Amino acid sequence: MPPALTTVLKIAALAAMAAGLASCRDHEQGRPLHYEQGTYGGKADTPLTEEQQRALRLRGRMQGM
Amino acid sequence: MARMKFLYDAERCIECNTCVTACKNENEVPWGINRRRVVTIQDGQPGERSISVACMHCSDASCMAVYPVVCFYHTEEGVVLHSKDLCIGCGYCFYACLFGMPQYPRAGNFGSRGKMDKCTFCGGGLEEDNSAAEFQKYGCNWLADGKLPLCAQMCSTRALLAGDGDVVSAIYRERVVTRGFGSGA
Repeated sequence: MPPALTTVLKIAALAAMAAGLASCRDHEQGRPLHYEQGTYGGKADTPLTEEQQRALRLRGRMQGM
Repeated sequence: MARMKFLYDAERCIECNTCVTACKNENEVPWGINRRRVVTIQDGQPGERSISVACMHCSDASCMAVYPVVCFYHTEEGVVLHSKDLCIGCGYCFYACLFGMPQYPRAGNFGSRGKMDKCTFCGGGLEEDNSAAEFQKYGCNWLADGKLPLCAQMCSTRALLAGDGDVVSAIYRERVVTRGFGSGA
């Protein structure tokens, strides 16, 4: 294989690797890529409203029969 | 609000498996997976007892401690939920869980594990409340409607209690006092 072609292939391989690594960015993956031990990294949950919590408490008490 | 808990009254359970059926039916749990199961000891013998077991939504959950990608979280009500978007199906939580509750659907023809599935206290997941996407991943969301998990609601003998830990423990305490000590309660 001619040395010029080898050089071109090496450069192409490096460019492909660089492009591959660049696509590993967090915001492009849509999921966390770096994890911290014991820390939940997903999206946040929607908390229940006061009204929902009050209804749950009432339901809980109704089981006492 | 205090933490949501399940409490089983072994004196009342008649092993009818309504809780299991209600959970499986309502959440459309996949084939081969049970989020809840009834365990019976000394079956057919004197002293037979049954309890209905599902995720206990531990305050200090071992599944949360071992998971490598930290996909578990506690809701404000103390329910242990997980994100199926983050789960990698590694199976660590199954080995860590004292109750053997994490379940894995078969994802391929060679026994590979899919995303973990477990009881959500009928609390759904991270998607919009009562949306199709939430139901598909996690099942129904009764908590968002101000209702308790269906297994507890369907229990005919009220053996399975669910709700605020203080409330259900007060109910159980009253039962024990009423039926007297020494009855196995």
